[in-house]
Amino acid sequence: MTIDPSTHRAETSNVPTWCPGCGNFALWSALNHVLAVTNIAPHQAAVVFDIGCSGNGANWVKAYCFHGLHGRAVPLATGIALANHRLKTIVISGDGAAYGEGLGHFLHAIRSNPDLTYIVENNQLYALTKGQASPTSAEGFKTVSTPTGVTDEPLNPIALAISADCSYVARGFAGDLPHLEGLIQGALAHRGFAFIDVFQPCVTFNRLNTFAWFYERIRKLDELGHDPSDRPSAWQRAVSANDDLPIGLFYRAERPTLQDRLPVLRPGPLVDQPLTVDLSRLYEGLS
Amino acid sequence: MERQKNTFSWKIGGEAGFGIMASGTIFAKTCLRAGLQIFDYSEYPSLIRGGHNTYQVYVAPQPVRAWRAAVNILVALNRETVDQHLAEVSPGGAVVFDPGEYSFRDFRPAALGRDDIRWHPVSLGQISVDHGGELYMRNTVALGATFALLSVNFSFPAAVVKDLFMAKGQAVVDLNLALLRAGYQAIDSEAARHFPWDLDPLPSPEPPLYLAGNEAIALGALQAGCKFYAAYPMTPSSTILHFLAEHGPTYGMVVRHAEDEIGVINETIGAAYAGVRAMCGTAGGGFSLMTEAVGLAGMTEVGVVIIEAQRGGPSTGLPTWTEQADLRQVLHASQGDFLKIVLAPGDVEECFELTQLAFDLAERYQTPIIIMTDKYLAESHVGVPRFRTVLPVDRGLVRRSEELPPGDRFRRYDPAADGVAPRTLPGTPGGLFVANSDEHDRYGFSEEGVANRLAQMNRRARKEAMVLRGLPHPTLVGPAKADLTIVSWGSTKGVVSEARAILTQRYHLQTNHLHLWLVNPFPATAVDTLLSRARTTVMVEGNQSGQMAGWIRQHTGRQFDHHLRQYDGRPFEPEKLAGQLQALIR
Ligand SMILES: Cc1ncc(C[n+]2csc(CCOP(=O)(O)OP(=O)(O)O)c2C)c(N)n1
Ligand code: SF4
Repeated sequence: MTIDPSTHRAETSNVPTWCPGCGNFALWSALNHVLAVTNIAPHQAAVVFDIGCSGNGANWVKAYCFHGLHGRAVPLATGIALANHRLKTIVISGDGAAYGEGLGHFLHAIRSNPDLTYIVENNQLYALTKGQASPTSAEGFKTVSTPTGVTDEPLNPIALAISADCSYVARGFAGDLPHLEGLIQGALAHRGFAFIDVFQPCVTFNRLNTFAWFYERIRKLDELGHDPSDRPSAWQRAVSANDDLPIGLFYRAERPTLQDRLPVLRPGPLVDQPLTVDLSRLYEGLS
Repeated sequence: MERQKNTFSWKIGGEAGFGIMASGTIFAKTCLRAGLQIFDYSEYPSLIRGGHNTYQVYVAPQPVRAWRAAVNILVALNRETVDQHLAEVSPGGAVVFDPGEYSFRDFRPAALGRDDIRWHPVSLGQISVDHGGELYMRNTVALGATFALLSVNFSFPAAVVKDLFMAKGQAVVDLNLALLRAGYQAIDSEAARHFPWDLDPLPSPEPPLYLAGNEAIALGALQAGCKFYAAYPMTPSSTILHFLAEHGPTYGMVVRHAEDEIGVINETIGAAYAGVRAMCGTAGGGFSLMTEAVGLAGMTEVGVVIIEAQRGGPSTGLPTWTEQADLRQVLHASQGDFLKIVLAPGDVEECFELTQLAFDLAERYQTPIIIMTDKYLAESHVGVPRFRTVLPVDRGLVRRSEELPPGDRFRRYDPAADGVAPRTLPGTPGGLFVANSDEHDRYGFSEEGVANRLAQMNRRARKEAMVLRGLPHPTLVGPAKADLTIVSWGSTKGVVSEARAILTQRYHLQTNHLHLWLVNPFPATAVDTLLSRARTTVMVEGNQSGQMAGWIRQHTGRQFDHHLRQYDGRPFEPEKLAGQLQALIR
């Protein structure tokens, strides 16, 4: 494999172990490319990975990577982004982690709007644990944990994010790299919690939601004349009952970030602030 | 009865939601400004309105290291207070009650058979309303009556009340002074002369701080340069959050009330990894939720400080009561073998000092530090001089860019290191590594091979001996040769000290005391040596199964001759404990 470091931030000392043809390669490539072309130096990015096939990417991105706990990447990243808001903080998670184990963190991060990018590799199942159903698996989908088919309704992450007024809501597809890169660039440029759900076919376990299946259904929002500042329209497109699957930027809004709301951070990142304090004023009020 | 100057205890009881804590605070602060020492203790149920609340404070001229159950003045805002606490009133004591309060209808004190105490009916509520106050301000009237009984010149409490209410404006000051005076005048001087306990203010140059363990922990964190605190409310840890939310930002701290305890600890780990000193706090239930991430901090070697304030368990248990039964859960938190440093401060000063120390340990040894307290320590106030101990800050091994070898990747987890390997902070050019929850190689890359696994496990395990080498050994307080060696951990320290003083003064019995503030890594050799010299040993701890006794046995093979355990939600009490200890000495 030859990688040009001027256009790609891949870790070259270590080679990805994803299955050949796995959708994870696409996101990996897109992220590395965007980091390179936007001139974010490796040491300026903190990339927090969840646990899963997607999470294994922690070993193959040239940045300060943190491979955290299953479902907990968002709060881990929030802590990093609060401690040093000069870093570009990016989270990469699987759909099992994001919408199962870690769903609560997702909604609360939307509320507090920390300045970070949250990318969910949505392969509609739990891959690393060998193919069980996830919260986005289709109803009736047969897996080792649901041999007679999934009985629950799938979660709609885009609608969920729009309903909670997430400040950047987008969906990408691992089969369209330039489009995905555009969404990631937009997310990195966005001030606030930028969320991208990525259709990422798992070629080993998901025989339903394949690349071919997606190619038939994918429609690009910008080609449909969608205005991402129009929340009702974004909602309509997110919950539309037809078989089309829109990708692109659904919704974007300017909202103060969590960091903006903390006056303590105005002098600069927390990590640069002096440790020594004089508590005598405080003591005066305590007797 | 012989007159007793400056040693007394006062208790006020009534329904929850009647400002009992607020009036207790005024009383305690008045005694502190009179140059005396205090130890307060409050009991309240887990609800906001109704239910029975008490606040009590023990006052003495010498340092007071524990609460006392005996009461000299009981202020009963309702009948339930008399019913529940009359037995605690000592002979010669006084009960102030409000005959106008509906629960005292048909109340006949004479029928209660306590001829040895005096009853003082004072129409607290009516007096309050007559002087322009609200009904709930009857507490202030009761305070006035209390000060009259204690025969202290009115000008003293008046000056304190004025000072405490000044910030709220002159009208508030005037109203409170009027109520205080009316209460004071409701006790006639004959009654005051009859009451054998007096408050006689001593000169006091700098009023001490009025602090509970939680505030001392918060101050210790600020002093140590902690810049990030996260929590989710849970009694008895919540007042750390309240204190830091109010004061932290002035000292450059970000304070987060996150969505749950899992979010809390993960944010804290993220902040510490990025290079700030970070802490989170919770009680036993919240700590259960944090468990998995305690292991993450151990595996990625991110030093974080976690406060675990115990209450009665299991489950939500006794939410507002005390216990020391979380030891095993803390020691065993999270899967796998890794080092957690567990500290158990015994008093408010140790809360301040050990919290400061915890941040140094966290960064020096790159592992989670857990500070265990309990409701009794976390919420009981004492008077302490302003803290002067400021530990020099040790941030451990941190490499800056110019100190790094060439290349992008840094050997953050170098197995050749002596336990602790130097770290870099995100943002440092040339310092890249993976902080990895999975087992990893020197760069942090996932690696499951045998040689690497053993090298990394063994390197991390070397930290334990380093910690033990770097910390002072536990020591015995009291004479080397004693009839009884008492061992305790955490908040029980003060009660044991007071009980020992009683045993010496009253019965001339010699005891010594080992207070274990370092729980893990366990100082086994030192403890074993101390116990080997003891004639008779007793373990005093606030749980049912003897968790610390078991931990000591695991490390030393030693068993105690006696055990005193309490798990009814109430703290040990010096007088009662002294009696129990005396019975063990023959
Ligand atoms: C607390 C916890 N529960 C379960 C697991 C096991 N586990 C590892 S990855 C995974 C699911 C992965 O699915 P997903 O998040 O969708 O990521 P993918 O592998 O599909 O990329 C699970 C359940 C774990 N690591 N931690
Ligand atoms: S199992 Fe699926 S998600 Fe995992 S690497 Fe293989 S193709 Fe990719």
